[in-house]
Amino acid sequence: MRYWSLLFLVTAALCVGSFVYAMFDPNWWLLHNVSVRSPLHFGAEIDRLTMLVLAITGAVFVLTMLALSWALWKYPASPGRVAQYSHGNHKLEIVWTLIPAVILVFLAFYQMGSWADIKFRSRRPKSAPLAQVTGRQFNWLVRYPGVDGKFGTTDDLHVINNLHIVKDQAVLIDLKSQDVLHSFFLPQIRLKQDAVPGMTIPVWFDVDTPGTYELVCAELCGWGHYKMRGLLTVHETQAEFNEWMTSALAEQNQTQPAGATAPDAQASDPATTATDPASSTVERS
Amino acid sequence: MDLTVPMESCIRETLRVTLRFRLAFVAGFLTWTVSGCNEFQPQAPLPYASDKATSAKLADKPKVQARVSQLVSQLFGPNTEELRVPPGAPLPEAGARIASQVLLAEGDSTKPGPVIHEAGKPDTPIRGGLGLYREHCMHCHGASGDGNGPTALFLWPRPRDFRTGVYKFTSTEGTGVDSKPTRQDLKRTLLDGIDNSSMSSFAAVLTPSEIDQVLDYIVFLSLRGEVETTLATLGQDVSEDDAETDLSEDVAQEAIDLVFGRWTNAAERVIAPPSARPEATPESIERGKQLYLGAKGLQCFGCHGLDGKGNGESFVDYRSFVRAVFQGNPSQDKIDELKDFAEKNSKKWADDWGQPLRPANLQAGRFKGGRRPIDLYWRVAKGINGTPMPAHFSSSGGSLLTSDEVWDVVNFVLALPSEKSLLEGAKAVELAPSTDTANNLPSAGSPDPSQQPAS
Ligand SMILES: [Cu+2]
Repeated sequence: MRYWSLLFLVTAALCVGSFVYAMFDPNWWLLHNVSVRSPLHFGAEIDRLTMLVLAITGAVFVLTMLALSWALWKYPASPGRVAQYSHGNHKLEIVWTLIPAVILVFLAFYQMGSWADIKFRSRRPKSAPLAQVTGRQFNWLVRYPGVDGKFGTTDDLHVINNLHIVKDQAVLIDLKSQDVLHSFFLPQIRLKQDAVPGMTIPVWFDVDTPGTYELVCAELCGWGHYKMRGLLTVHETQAEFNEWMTSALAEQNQTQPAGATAPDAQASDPATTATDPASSTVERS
Repeated sequence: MDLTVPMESCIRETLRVTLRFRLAFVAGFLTWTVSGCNEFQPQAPLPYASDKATSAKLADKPKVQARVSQLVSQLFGPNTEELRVPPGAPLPEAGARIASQVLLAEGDSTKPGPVIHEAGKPDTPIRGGLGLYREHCMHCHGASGDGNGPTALFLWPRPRDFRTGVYKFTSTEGTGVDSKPTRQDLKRTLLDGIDNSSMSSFAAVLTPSEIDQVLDYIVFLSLRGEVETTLATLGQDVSEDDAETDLSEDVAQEAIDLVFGRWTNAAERVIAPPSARPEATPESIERGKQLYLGAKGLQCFGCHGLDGKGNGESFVDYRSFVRAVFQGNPSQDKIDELKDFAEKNSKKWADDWGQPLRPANLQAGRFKGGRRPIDLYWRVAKGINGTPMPAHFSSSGGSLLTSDEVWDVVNFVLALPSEKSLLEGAKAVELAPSTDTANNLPSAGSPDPSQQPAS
């Protein structure tokens, strides 16, 4: 039955084919990388390493599958042939142990610079942290230090699942957890860092394109894990960011019901807080 | 004896078995891949679970109980999947968004819900509140909205039971079922979650339109539950033989009008503070601190503690609380003593849903009902519905706070998390006996001192 070898060959070809197809289809491939042209460009760094590992493992996969198919084709079961005893081949074994070992050691040293840039505390930006992000079942609690630049004062801004930064600015985040392990994952920046209860872990990154990106939890943290989804908003300019901060602070400092004016104006009209109009996207059929 | 024959047949048998096994395996594998892993589908639509307190009212009147269920299912649909909205329901779009299909008011035919129009795309029906609720909310809040879903047991505070129609964090006047949340109140809870609880924020999980759909459905669950409770209360005065006639459809309409009325005018009953918030000066914070410590006879510290950590004397001690919530640790030797204590005090430290609760730790700076000054004003001024946290503001004065004093307390509470030294070594304010008596002389508008709530 040498035709089994064809099955293995076809399976391998499908695997390789799906990877090749995926690279040309943005829906299949990794999410669009937005940390490529920024000063830190961690996203580009990580993608470069990922592609290198993919190329090496891909080449090994193709060679292995070819060898497997060839062996199956060449030596099919044939009635009457006597089995042979073989003690093995020392040279061959040394070769197939050394090659992966060399590759692994190469990768281990080759990525050290990137690892240091992204994770070593000594390389973190010297600026003060932009925000504290605290994981909690099942939210990301974000706290900005406010005007005085200090955390834990009355002018802190507290927002939930909502992190705002400025384009091309290296931001430093203090990552914490209140309960269990969470993982701060920005897939479009290729950044992932576990949040560990009892520890404050610095995380730093930058983004090259303004927009709204996903912030998700990448550590199964409980039954509501999937609800732990937030948004990272990247502003074009510092002025735009400040504007957001001002309006968020104004909302946090609200002292009257929405729509009502301060009582001194004697015009408070609670009725204006009434049911807001039905969402515009939904209409009766 | 020749052993070869049985041996051979045995081998042949084994081969046949493995062949059959392989065929069965392949067939099974194919069916599995073709059918896919189906989601769990209950055999029949889930029925509504009635509130215990409600069904207890009619425990000895099966006929009246049956009549109440009949009326409720005529009005709101027979089970948790076939929904009907009574005319005049206080829901936007007449309740059309609660499900992708709702039953028509009369008969059992269905009508489709609204569709989403998007430029360049064919119209798609909305998921509807029911579908979204089942995906995101049901595992905690339960299929009937009873706050008793499969994951509810892991949580403390427990998820809300929507059927009673009591919502903790509202901005409207009144207490209990009369203090209904406005659309804004409900929306804030869904968008921001409830800090210090397991209610998470859905701002990045649901679209604005989906949030509206879920809210409609939650209000629907409350309307249904409240009407059921109202009818059961009326049914207590009805004898078994008159169930049909005394609980007529007109009576049901009266119950509907009563319940819907509570919701319809919620937006007009929002409390706007009559005085503007004063600057959080050290003086204002100090005045707030003195009020907290009893300067006007309010004993905030009785529950929230002299150091603000939520460990006041008049509240249950932490061990009994842990025992009641988490069934305690059997190796603790004081367990029997605690049991008596817990039973005796269970009324005092449970909310209206029968769940034990703790006063907030004010030093933590985490506010369930929101951290905006207006949120805290509402908490102090009107209390937290369904819990021992009472209202502290009365426009008629008395021994309750004035609006300015409420703001002082708000300023104090907001300052406390960052200035923990504020309550260092704090002692309760001792009122001079003479003024005390004078203040407590029975007079119109001043509440009975024995009824005076601890804050
Ligand atoms: Cu998580």
